[in-house]
Amino acid sequence: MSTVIDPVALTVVDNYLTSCCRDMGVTMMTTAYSPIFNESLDFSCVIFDPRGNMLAQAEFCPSQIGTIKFTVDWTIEELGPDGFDEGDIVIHDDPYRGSGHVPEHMLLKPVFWEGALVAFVANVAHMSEVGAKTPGGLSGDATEIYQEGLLLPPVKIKRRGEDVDDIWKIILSNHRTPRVTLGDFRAMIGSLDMAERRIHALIADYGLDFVQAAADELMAIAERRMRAEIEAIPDGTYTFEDAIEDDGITDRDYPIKLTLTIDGGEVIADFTGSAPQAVGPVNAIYAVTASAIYNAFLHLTDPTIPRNEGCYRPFTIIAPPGTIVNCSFPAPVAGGNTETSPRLTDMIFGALQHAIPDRIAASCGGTSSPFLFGGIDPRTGEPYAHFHFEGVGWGGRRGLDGNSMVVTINGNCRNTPVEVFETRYPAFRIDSYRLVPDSGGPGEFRGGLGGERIFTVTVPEVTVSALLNRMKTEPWGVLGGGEGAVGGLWVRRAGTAEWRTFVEEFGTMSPSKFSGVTLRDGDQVRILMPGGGGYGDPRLRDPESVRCDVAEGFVSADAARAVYGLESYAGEA
Amino acid sequence: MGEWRETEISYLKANRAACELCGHPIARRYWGAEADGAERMFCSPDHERLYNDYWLPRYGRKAVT
Repeated sequence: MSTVIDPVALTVVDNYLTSCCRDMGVTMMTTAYSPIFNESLDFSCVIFDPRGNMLAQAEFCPSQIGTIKFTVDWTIEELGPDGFDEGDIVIHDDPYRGSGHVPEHMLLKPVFWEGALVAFVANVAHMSEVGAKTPGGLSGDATEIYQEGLLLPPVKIKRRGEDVDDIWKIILSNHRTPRVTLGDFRAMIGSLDMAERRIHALIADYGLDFVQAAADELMAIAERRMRAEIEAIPDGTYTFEDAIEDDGITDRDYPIKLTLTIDGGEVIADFTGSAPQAVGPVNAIYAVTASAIYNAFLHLTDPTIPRNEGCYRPFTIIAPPGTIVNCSFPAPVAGGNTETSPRLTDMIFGALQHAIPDRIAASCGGTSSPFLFGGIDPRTGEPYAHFHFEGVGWGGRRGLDGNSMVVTINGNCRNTPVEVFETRYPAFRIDSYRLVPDSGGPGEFRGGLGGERIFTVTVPEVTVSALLNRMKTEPWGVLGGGEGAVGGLWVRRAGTAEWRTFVEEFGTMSPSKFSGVTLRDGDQVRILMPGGGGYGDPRLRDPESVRCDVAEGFVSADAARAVYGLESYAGEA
Repeated sequence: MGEWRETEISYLKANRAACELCGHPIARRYWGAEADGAERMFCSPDHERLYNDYWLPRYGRKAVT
């Protein structure tokens, strides 16, 4: 006989679990060593039932939240349901066994109650240094996954509450910054320990039977509500194509083809016909592709639907093995999670622009703008490494302009503040950081602006790498909206006046995907981040909005005249 | 009629099994079924159904991987 649970109690349990995930994140943010944790928030925290069903998540990184489902599934499959003991913690960062990309490490802790396994708590986080071919990982010209860092299949770093020293030694001897790695992992472990205590407290208050019944009911509710949202989209087959520009090794586009079928409450996102996998690191593994589709539909549907396993049940993602959306071992994958993922999410919006014009948005800037660097801190003699990323313009959508310089749609992260950047890392001084006028795609609802950052090397030498996209092909607009501006990356050597691309200065194949370039004291780097696409005909834009844009410096007077057709406003700016 | 089966997790093989419909890598447990004249691996019975109802009408027979 099933347990009937009143809606108030269900809401209490749902909010409790979500709040627990949020607090896990606060623990990580406040106790970690690296800015990518405590400033960028490039991590996620999730709770699962013993079968691997996601029970709760919080508002962290969408690409990680989708992929961690697969990472946990694999871990439970590989270790087996009886493979866990109280006090164990499993680590996992192998993309070909379910994780997103090598820098993202998952830690998983089983939660026991009166001797029985009742839940898993897990977090996944982007480590700032993972022992790849160059500092910070995400080597833009990697050709196999072994160049992207230390791979860890699901193994225990704590067994029955005790550190497994052999595993710790392997990890710490492979990362360039072991002290930071250790501090960040300890923050993750602290977060899991806190979550375990919270779940114990919940069960102590409500009883195990009630909590398990509530969890099952919450997943059923989420599934029903998500299916109802999908049923509101007109049935049909929708298509869209986009491409990833170069892979750091070969100068060619990698087309991605989407056939999206909406059939009642079911969705099939079919990527058959997409390009074969790339030689360089722009490949997505299956979990990343699936995660990008979940991310798109979570943006399109009611945000009050409980964020648990039930949300994902209506979706089938078809990603043929050996393609750029589901590459085969041992292809490199670092940029799949930072560059290809946002492209896939945006493609859902593009496909559905005529079916649900009130809900979709134009393309965002579509790159995490990964710029990585490392070296030896001259102040201490200790190694340092950092994964720096930037915001982009987001696409315009019905009723609203796109956000300016917000980290791309797969990330929900934050950039590193200038003050922290300069304090923590001796390598650079930030010379300027600004929004770029006219970089947002024109539209009735304008695309968000991209930005520009210029910084100067302040140490004898620093090793830099990059893995950026949307440097050649513009973020697209929808429903008559215009394209956002592309990004770019340049270097100006000390004592010279000319900005040159890395191709021109260092002979890299790609202007935006390379690794291991040495810059020296006084050299400057200029990163330009793409804008977002526009929504709707720019000639329909509210004249007062154009006036404000010109006054704020978001749109030039020339563009106000030529693109928005507002001759009379040009002179007033 | 298909059934749930298990495959061995190996650290010695480079080629990893994947669902014949969606391409999802299979860790251990899979739904084994005869479809389109061949024994095939799927994530679930639902993916066996979609292989017959969605994949075959659009793309035709798939080589067994």
